[in-house]
Amino acid sequence: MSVSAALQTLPADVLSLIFQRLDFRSLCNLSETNSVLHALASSESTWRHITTRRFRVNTNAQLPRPLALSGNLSWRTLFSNWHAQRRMPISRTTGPTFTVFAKGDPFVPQIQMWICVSSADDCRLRDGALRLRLVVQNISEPCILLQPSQTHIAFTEGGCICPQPPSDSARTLTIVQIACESWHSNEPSHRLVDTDKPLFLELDEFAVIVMDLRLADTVFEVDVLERLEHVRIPVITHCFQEAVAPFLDGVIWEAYEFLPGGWWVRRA
Amino acid sequence: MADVPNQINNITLKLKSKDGEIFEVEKPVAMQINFVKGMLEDVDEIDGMEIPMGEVEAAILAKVVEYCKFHYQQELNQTNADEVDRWERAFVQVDKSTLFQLILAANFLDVQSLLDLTCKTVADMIKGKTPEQIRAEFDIDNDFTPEQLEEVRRDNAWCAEDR
Repeated sequence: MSVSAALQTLPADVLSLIFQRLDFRSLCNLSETNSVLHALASSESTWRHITTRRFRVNTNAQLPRPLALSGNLSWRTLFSNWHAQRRMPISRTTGPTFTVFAKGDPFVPQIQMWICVSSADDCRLRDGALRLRLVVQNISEPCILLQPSQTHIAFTEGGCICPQPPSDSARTLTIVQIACESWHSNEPSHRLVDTDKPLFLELDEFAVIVMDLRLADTVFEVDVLERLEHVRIPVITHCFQEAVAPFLDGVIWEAYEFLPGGWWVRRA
Repeated sequence: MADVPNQINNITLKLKSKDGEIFEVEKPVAMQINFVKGMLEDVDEIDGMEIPMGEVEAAILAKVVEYCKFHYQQELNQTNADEVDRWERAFVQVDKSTLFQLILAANFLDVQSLLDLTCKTVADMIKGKTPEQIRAEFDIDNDFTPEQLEEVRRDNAWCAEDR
């Protein structure tokens, strides 16, 4: 028996096993090659699989919605909508319910990044520090390399700070913890990694880098947030790049409300 | 009593390829093939029985057996992950026709880890290539009309925007 080397001659169930391992860009490129492969590469099951893996939605635990509510929305359309919105993948400390203060730049299309704040009830700094969560996800490469210890935070008044080497006493940045959120055998998994070492991220894997930022003479979270300009982190894909997430205008005032007497509260 | 498990492990099974070649394989090695495992559940007497391996030909069955042997040994010896990785990489360095037949065999014989390895190998060959490069790599014919191709490209524009 001689089997041809043409991909489209493989049975559909085997092809779908291969396609489920691809990133969305490769899948789109594949769909432009041939009509048989186009049909399979556009299938609902394939896009459901990669949507689940990328955005970590748990479709197994929930009953499907009545058809009338979901309309004609396909998994592929949903994926492209969420990709355009730069939706954050879900874990215990990430997801669309968390306010995003900064989002990653399109100049490094292999990754997405987000900055969230771990807020206190009274919006005051805990032990004088603002706890930031930097979320970085590899969205299209088999593997990327991050250098969390070289994360830089730049200030609106100028200058920037990074965890290593330790900077002046008026401002310090410390990495508290790095959690790696992976996806194996259709299940999310979670592991803590060294804070001072480079970090490999496989396709759709993401890292949650928890950092404490201390600035002299600050009391409230807002005091620190309004002085932040951008976060950048070195990423090695095919080459060395720096991914930048600028802090977004106006988000602070959507997330926090000023109370009479100089207090702050998070908006509901 | 201590000898009993040994005796069981020493049993060899005869796996028969489509083209009639017999492979004598130790039982614990062959039991990694779920197809064989499932078959043995239904029979009491396996001594000397030839188990037909469906459409799998000798050249491919030899590779499947080689894979199962390595993984059986690797579990016994606790081979380190780097070494396993190197071995697997070398194992899938074959021409595409062989690779595709391995996928079909792993799928039919239900050897999950081999199916994972071979599917991942093909996926890695697709990644990062343009449609033209994928066509060349896998001998794919472009059967779209220019209008159809234009429509597919329009549909895909959203993911090409930030490339």
